Amino acid sequence: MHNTEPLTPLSMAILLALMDGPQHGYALMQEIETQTGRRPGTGTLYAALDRLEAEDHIAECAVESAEDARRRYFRITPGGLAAARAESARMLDVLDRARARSVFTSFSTLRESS
Amino acid sequence: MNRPGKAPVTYRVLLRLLPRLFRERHGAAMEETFASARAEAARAGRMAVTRLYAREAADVLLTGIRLRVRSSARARHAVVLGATGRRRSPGAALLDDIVLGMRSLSRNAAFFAFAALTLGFGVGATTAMYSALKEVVLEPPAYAGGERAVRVWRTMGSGLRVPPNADQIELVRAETTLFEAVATYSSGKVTVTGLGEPVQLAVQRGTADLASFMGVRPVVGRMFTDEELAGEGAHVVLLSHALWRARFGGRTDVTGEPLHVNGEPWTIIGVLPPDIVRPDALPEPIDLWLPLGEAQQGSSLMARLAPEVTIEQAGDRLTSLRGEDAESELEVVPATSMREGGLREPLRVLMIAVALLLLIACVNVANLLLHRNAARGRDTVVRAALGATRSRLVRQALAESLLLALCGCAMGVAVAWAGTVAAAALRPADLAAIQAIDIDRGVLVFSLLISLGAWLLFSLMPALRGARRNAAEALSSAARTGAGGSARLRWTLVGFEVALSFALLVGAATLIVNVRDSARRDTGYQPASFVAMDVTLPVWRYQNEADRRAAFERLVTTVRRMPGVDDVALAAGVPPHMGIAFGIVHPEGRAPDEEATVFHGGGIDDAYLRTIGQPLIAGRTFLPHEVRDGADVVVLGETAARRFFGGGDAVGRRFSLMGDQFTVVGVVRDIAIVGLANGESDRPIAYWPLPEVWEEMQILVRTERRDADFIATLTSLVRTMDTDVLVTVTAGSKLLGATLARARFTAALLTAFAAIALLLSAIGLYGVLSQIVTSRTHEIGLRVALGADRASIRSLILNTGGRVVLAGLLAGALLVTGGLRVLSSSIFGIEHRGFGVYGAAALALGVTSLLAMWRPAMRAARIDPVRAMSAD
Repeated sequence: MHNTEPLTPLSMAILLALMDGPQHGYALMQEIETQTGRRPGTGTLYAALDRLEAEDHIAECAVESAEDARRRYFRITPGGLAAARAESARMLDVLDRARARSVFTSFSTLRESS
Repeated sequence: MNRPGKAPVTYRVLLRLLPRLFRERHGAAMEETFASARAEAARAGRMAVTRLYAREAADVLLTGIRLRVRSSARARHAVVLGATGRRRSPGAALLDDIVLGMRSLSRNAAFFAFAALTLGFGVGATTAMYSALKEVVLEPPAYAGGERAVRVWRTMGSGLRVPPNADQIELVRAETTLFEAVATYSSGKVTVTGLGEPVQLAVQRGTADLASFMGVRPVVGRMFTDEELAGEGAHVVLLSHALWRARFGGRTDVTGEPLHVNGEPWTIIGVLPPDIVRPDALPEPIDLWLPLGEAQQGSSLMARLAPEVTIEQAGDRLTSLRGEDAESELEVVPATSMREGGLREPLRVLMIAVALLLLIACVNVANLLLHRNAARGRDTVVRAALGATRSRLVRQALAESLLLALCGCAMGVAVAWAGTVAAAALRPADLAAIQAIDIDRGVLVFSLLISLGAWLLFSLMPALRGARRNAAEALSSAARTGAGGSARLRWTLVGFEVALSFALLVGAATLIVNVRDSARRDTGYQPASFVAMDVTLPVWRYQNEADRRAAFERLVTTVRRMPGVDDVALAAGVPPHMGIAFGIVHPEGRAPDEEATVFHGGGIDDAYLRTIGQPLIAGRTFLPHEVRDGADVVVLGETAARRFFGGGDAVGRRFSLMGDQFTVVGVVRDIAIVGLANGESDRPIAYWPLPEVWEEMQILVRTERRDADFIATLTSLVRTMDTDVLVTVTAGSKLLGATLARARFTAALLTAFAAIALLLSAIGLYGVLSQIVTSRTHEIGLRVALGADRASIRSLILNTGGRVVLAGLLAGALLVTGGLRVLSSSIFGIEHRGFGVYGAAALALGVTSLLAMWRPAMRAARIDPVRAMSAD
């Protein structure tokens, strides 16, 4: 069932951030910081965006309200959605295995909230 | 349009590190993202921007490397050889070189860490120290025209500075060609009630011209009017911005409301802007501005020099105007002289120390790189032989250096930042100026450039030499000889490092001995035998002197009855914070003195000398009725008695001062009246019967007890009399010890610098000796084969290093003797401390050197002759 390559945490964070709609680089940077507690540098961020674009997980798109011509917006593609879904399933798998080995005592509450 | 703006050039240059295609595709968007991030960081302050740049530089650099590594795993082989014939863009080639540099550095992690640490410490310490110097000494006060602001003092014959009197203020005001603007002010404290607990607030009283002098405009309400400044000054007040926000919720309708200052209702007329500073640039807060009425005295005087007028010209002119006043003259000093508070000299000494440290760091880095290049000599030659061009080889050496330099720079920023934070945390209480140090960007760049320069010079030189060498010759000899010329240079550098470290060590040891001796000095009294209570009565309930005296006498009587209390005294001051009095002394039966005498001491009661343990040499102390009636009697210190009455008995003699006649009833031992740091104990001391009781007085309690219970009981005793009394209790020895805090701080910093210098020299020594052993493996093997024993091999190596250490020690001793001669003439308490200090420093350096040399020497002694000679 997991027929895509595993995603890096950064790629996953980008895809999740784009689920709410198209975003530009700086907004992504802030969103990723909220999600993971760490802010990627511009180099790391754009290298990841470049790779995701090459893998057809995201695509550039025009946004009418863009106030700066240099601002480039990205949206998630169906391929990206599938990859994010597959990655989530993989994570759940990992969690299931962790539960089987009693990594968490309070696993059931985690499961409910996910 | 309000956009974050363009990304700065620095960032665009940084983007050149990325592969061209990637840059063309994402560069513009990255610039925009960076500009947004930078705008956000700018709101958080300068440090945040610096951190952003550091993080982004590392991130873009690493991304560039990752992208290239990913794109061409196959090309790497050619890069390693440096022999690729393919033409590549300069940026790409640079990154190839950096990739190569990283690989080679990761194989030499220890070298890398040492070098980066060395550079980081050198750059960081220099930057932090210079930033402190600039903040405290060099920066003018932060208001309009602050760079031309000067303070005018009335200076007594003995060098004591006091505020000018009313006539002198008028003299200065009349000098309109010298001064563009003149303003007077005074500072103090008041008790404010009605805002919850009674609080003591810092006030500044200013004349009408102070606001225009400093360019201050209230953000709410108005400034004082001329009517409000007439006479004693009206009861109107301006609030500081912080006080307004904290206590009045930032309401703009606050004007017209009452504020209870010292028990009386004053009217709030306005709010000061948030960034207000004191006119004399002292880093202390101002809570309230009150009008300084024309009739009020004792004001400090600030002036702004007219354009083209220098501070010396103004000073000369005012000196010639001294007028009627024969006792003092007017002196013009920079506005920041108060803020320095004697810090100028210590900071200069530390600046010299830190510059030496930077020098040592540069030498050490150069040394490490020479070592590295010597070790790589053979590698270079192989590449040259395989067809790598000379420029390619040089570039590779440079790329590796650049990488190291970047990491060193990042370390430098971190150390500078940590240094300023640590200095602010450790500063003694009286060095408030150190609180707000910002890292100075100019000097950070300067230090980085110096160390980068040293780095490039020493990494480039061997690369050029290596590229030029004949391949066949190098291949046959490089492994064995270790390049004689380079080794000589490296020994010279190590010797230089040892010399500089020795100088720093002696400096630090001198300061430590000075502090220790000062702490051990005989103070002449018994600071450990009493505690001092600083008591401030609510002045509005004790308006007249008789009430205050009665209140304090009641307090003294109550405290005296407490168990564990041996004696209690009331005084206007406590050593080392005594009052002063000055004037021309006219001893009985002699011509009056020419110059005014400044007496330390002040008003005391009959129990004071017993309480602090200051011994009487002749005569007696005051009698209770003399204190009560304010009799014209005086107790002199030894120095004062000797000065006015020669060697004879001073008791019973008379002298006049400021028109009053005094009879000497006793002579006491001199004490360290201004604390321990200055090293003087021969200032003239004079005590009078407590002439007047003010609202703030010292109650001194002679007791064996220091525990918290006792202190709490003392405090609550005072509070039961009146809840609005302010009281702080401090041990006498603590008051005295605080005068050494500054010297201790300086000594601690210098010791830290010396320790770092010592460590760096040890690293340098270890590096060179290790290389010597490696390069002489063959020779040593031969010696062992010929019958040399292990001990003699070991001492052979130790001798080689020892000679250099010894030469460095001698050079350092010369350097430091000259240096100390210069420093001891300055006011900072450095004196030549004899050869014990030299010995201690030499011992520390010797032991450290021996430790650094031991491992290479042992390695040499363990060389196996068979393997050493069969290798190669």
